[in-house]
Amino acid sequence: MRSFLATEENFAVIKDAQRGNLIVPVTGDVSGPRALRAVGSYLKAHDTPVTAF
Amino acid sequence: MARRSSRSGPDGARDALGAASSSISSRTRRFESAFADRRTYVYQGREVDKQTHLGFDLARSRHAHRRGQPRPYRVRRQPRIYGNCVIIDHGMGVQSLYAHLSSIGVKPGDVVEKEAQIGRSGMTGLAGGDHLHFTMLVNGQMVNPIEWWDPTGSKIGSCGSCARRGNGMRVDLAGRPRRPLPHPLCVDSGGDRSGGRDAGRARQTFRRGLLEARDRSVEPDGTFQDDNFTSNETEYAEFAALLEASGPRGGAYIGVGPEQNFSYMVAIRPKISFIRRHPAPGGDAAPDVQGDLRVVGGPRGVHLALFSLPRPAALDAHSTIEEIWRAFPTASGTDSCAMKRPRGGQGAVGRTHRFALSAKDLSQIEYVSRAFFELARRFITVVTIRMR
Repeated sequence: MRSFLATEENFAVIKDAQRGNLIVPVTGDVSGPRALRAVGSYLKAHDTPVTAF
Repeated sequence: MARRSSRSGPDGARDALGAASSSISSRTRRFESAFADRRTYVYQGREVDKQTHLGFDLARSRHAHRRGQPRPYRVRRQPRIYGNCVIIDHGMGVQSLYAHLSSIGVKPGDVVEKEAQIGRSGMTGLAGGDHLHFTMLVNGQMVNPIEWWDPTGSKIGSCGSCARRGNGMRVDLAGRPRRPLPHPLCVDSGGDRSGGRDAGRARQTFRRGLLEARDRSVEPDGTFQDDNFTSNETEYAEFAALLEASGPRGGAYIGVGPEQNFSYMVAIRPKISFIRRHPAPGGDAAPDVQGDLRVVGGPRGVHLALFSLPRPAALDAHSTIEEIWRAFPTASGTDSCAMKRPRGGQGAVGRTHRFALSAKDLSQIEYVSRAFFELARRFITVVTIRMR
C-alpha cells in the first residue's frame, strides 16, 4: 500500500507541501493553449527539471 | 515506446480500406480486440498502464464488402497514438475513425465517396502488429462501432436501400423474415423502393435520435458537479510503488489525476507540484477547500474525520492504516454530524487562511462532506472485509 494516507509519514509529506504552498492547483484545460504553457513558463524561469513517466 | 502485453493483428496484410463504416463486414474479418476490452501495457518488462480499448481491432481487411453510394463524406486526420489516422465526418455528429494506417490516400478536407480507397492498414502509432483500429464517434464520444456496421447484424447492406444489390431479407430474433428498413446512411443512395417513404422515415428517425442523444448528454445549465471521488486508475498504488523504487526524484510534478496525484507525489517528493483542479460548479475558481482541510486537519485520522465521522478515540497520529480501517466502521455518527462539518470547515479554513467563503463554496463543502459521510462507512466496511 503506497497511498498518501497509508502512513502518517506519507500524509505529512503532502501536508507539509500544502502548508508550504508548494501544491499549486491549476484550474484550466491542460490540453488547451494556456494552463500547461503557464506552468511550463514558470518551470523554465526557475530552471526546474521535468521528467515524464 | 510501451507495448501491449497482448499483440494484435500479426497476420494482417496491408490491404486497401473502404471509406465508410458500413463497408466493414464482421464476416470477413477476425477481431483481435473488441470494444471496451481491458489492456495492459508493458515497458521494459514492467507493467506501466492499463487502459480500456475504445474501438475494434481487425486483423484482416481483405475482401471487405463495399457498396457504391454517392453520399459524400468529409475527411479529417488525427495523429498521436493512432499513427496514420483518418477520421471521416459523416455529418450530424457521426464520425468513423481508421487508425494505424501504413499509408493514407486522402488528405484533410477531401470529400470521399463510399468506395474510395482511403488508405492501407498498418502498424503506425501505438500498435503491436499490422491491423486496423476502427471505431465510431457520436458527438465526439467513442461508441461501440459494431452497432454501426450493419443494422441487422446479419448481412452487410441488408437494408431497404441496398436490397437491390442482392443482400436479400433479414430475419428477426425468432428467425422470421422481415422486410428490411433503410440503413440511415444509405437513405440517399437511390435504392429505396418505397417511393422515398421508408427513406424519409428512416432519415427523420435517425436525425431525431441524434438530437435526443445530444440533448440527453448536455447538462441543462452547462455546468455540473464533476468530482465523483473515484479514480479511473485502479492500479495507481502499485504504480506509485514502482515510482518510489526507481522513479525520478525532486523537480516539479504536474498531474491531472485527482486521486493518484498525492500518492505519486509521496513517491517522487517533488519540490513543487501543479495539480489540475476541477472548476467549481458555475465555473468559479473557488478556494482549494480540500487542500486547506489537509493543512488544518491534524493527523490522518482527524483529516478523514473532517469529511465523515467523528474521529474514534482510539486513533492517534501513530495509528496504522489497518487500525484506521478497523476503527471507522464502528464509529458513531449521525447525519446532523456530517451537516456540522461544513460550518466547522468554514471556521477552520477562515481562521487559518482568512478565506471569505461564498454560498457556492459552502455548497461545495457540504457536497463533499455529505458524500464522504454517506459513502465512507460503507466503503471502509468493504475494504475491511477484503483485508481479512
